[in-house]
Amino acid sequence: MNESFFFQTALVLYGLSAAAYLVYQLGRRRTFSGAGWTVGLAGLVFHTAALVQRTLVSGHAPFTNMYESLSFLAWSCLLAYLVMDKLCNLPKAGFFLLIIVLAFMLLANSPLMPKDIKPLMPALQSVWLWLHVSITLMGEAFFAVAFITSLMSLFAPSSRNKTSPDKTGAAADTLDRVSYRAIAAGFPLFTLGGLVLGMVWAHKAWGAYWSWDPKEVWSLITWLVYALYLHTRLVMGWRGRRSAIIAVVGFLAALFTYFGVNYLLAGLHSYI
Amino acid sequence: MNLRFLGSLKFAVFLIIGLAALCVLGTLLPGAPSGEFASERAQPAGILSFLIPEDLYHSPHFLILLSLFSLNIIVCTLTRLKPKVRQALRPSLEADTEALLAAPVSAQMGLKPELRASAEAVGDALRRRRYRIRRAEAPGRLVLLGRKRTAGRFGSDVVHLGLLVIVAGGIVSGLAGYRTILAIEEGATEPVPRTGFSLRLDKFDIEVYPDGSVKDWKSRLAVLEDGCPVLGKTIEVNHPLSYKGFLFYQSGYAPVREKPTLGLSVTGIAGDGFKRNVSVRPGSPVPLGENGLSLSVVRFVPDFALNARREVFSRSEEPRNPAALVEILENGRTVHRGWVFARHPEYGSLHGRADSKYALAFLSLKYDLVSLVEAARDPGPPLIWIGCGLVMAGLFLAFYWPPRETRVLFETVSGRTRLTAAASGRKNRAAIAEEFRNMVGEWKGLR
Ligand code: HEM
Repeated sequence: MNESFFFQTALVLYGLSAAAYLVYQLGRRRTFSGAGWTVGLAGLVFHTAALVQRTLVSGHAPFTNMYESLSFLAWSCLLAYLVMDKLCNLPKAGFFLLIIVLAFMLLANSPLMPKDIKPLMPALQSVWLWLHVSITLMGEAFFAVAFITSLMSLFAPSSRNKTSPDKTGAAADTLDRVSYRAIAAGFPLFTLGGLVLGMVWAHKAWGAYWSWDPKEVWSLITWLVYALYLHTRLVMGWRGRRSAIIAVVGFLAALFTYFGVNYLLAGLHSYI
Repeated sequence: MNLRFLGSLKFAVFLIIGLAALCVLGTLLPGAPSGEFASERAQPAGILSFLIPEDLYHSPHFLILLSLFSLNIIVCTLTRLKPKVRQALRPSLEADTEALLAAPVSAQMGLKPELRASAEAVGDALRRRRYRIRRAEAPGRLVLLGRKRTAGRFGSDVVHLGLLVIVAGGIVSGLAGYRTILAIEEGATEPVPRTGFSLRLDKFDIEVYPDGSVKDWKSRLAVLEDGCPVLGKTIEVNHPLSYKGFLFYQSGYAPVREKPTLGLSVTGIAGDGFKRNVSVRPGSPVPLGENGLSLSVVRFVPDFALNARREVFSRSEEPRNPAALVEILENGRTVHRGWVFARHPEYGSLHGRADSKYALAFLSLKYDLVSLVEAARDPGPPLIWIGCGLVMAGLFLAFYWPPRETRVLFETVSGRTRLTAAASGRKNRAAIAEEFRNMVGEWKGLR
């Protein structure tokens, strides 16, 4: 069984999981969210096998081109979601999160992304590649969860302008807290992977820990947006709508760092 | 601008947005600079060029914003630090029944044992949950303050300190850092600027994958002090050499355009089966065997062209149309003279010259390579790594080391002991409430 088989199986399972979550979304029957979770986990297992297989065959980290890193990002997003769901009980976010996961998977699977294994150019042959990319993408995966829960809270009715704190009304507050927890998990990971380890590696490879390369600048921008989220919240007491908007902007910045910089701006990082 | 504003979070929000906005403009605007690539792009004009100067990240705007940002953190952290430290070292041991009960997580109950015995038992229960206890006693009143993970309060301060150290490291790098690229040929020695030592390149290798793409570049370097080798190391990408505060990185290689080596084949057209392949540099004749024949490249042009007066010139330095004017001498007498073209082999063989017994072909063109070694002296990184360590430690403290506090007041009220307690802490209220409920459950055994 090869990588492609594992990958395609994972893709199908993610589709089924999304379908189960959609049924849950429409009918709110816990059996379906449970099924979505389990099928999603099964997909994750196959996906893990695909990543391991690719690593074994290529002999290098499974995130050295767009196909590989999209696949790894999809994997991280699902993992982050499954973790957050265990901690905070988030079945309602399942469908939307799987949409993101499927989008990354389908993009990775599309003919736009060459899948052949290419030998690594010199600068990428390093353990720092493993640490830098995997931890950064894991941080972004938690940002993705916060993105979903923040978007949901923007559309959920708020309890504040409701006279009776009914069940749906409480949802916005819960989503707000969950977004914070996801960012509290993602921010240290992103700081470690994206900024600290990025600097360590750049220092090792290029002799300059920071060169204002567009990808570096955009990581910094993303990081500043989340710093803004934390401070307006902690010190200025922002909650709800305003916090959610910053979290959404933060993830869009992260996506731009990931895609936009590669395709729109040139720089040292453009080979990833 | 008063100190209050300078240290305020409003100002911080303004600065963070400002820095982010400059960075966005800096990378997105057409012609905007992007670090090392700045020179490759057209520059913006007018108001944009004022807002986004050529070297944005080293421009006064950016540096002023960054200094204000640092100042903001310093003032903000310092003004908040003093009361925080006092609170941590000498917490107030006051307690007021009403205030305790008003807290979100609180409880009150009567206990059987007298004041001290009750406090002893409750103190033990708190200690079992890793609380550190302080107590204050007054007649008829006893206060226990249990706290844990107090260091977590200082997470944000440690992060901010780390950020300042990183900024300081950046300033040190900017002021005292020095970097240059040395282009060294195999066997050559290059002095390292601003130092007393030199580097000699003993060997340069390019490793390729089977598909021809580059796998690695390696340079075997020797450090020479007063001409004597003192240190040798092979550097490659990701593996620099470190010597006397300098790091030497393999940054790439380049061909030396002045030093081509041509591969030529010479075939006798008289039907005597004469055939030789030679490797030759312009200006250095090579023998063609034992027969007194020698070949020399009189002139080499990488990009052959003729001008209006039909004179040969090279359009560029790139080997787009390499051509060589070759002479063959027999015992000092020229027996062949003509141009050979790499891209037009037919010229050399078909246009065999009537007066020549030889046809020539261009087989290969190679240039000597120089290894490009980046020499960098940068005293900044140690500060950067310390700063990064502080930031990560601070983030851990801020997010995963939440301080908790449980305050218990014991009073003797009409002969009986009454306990009033409240728990507080930042983050995860639910977990705090749960722990408190469990503790209260244990204390109920004292009733
Ligand atoms: C972009 C850079 C910054 C980063 C990464 C950063 C990081 C942090 C972190 C992680 C926390 C703790 C958050 C939490 O517990 O949820 C925090 C708190 C705080 N930050 Fe920053 N900070 C930055 C800039 C600033 C600036 C410029 C100020 C200046 C006023 C500031 C003022 C504060 C304050 C007042 C707190 C709350 C302190 C407390 O109550 O413990 N921060 N910061």
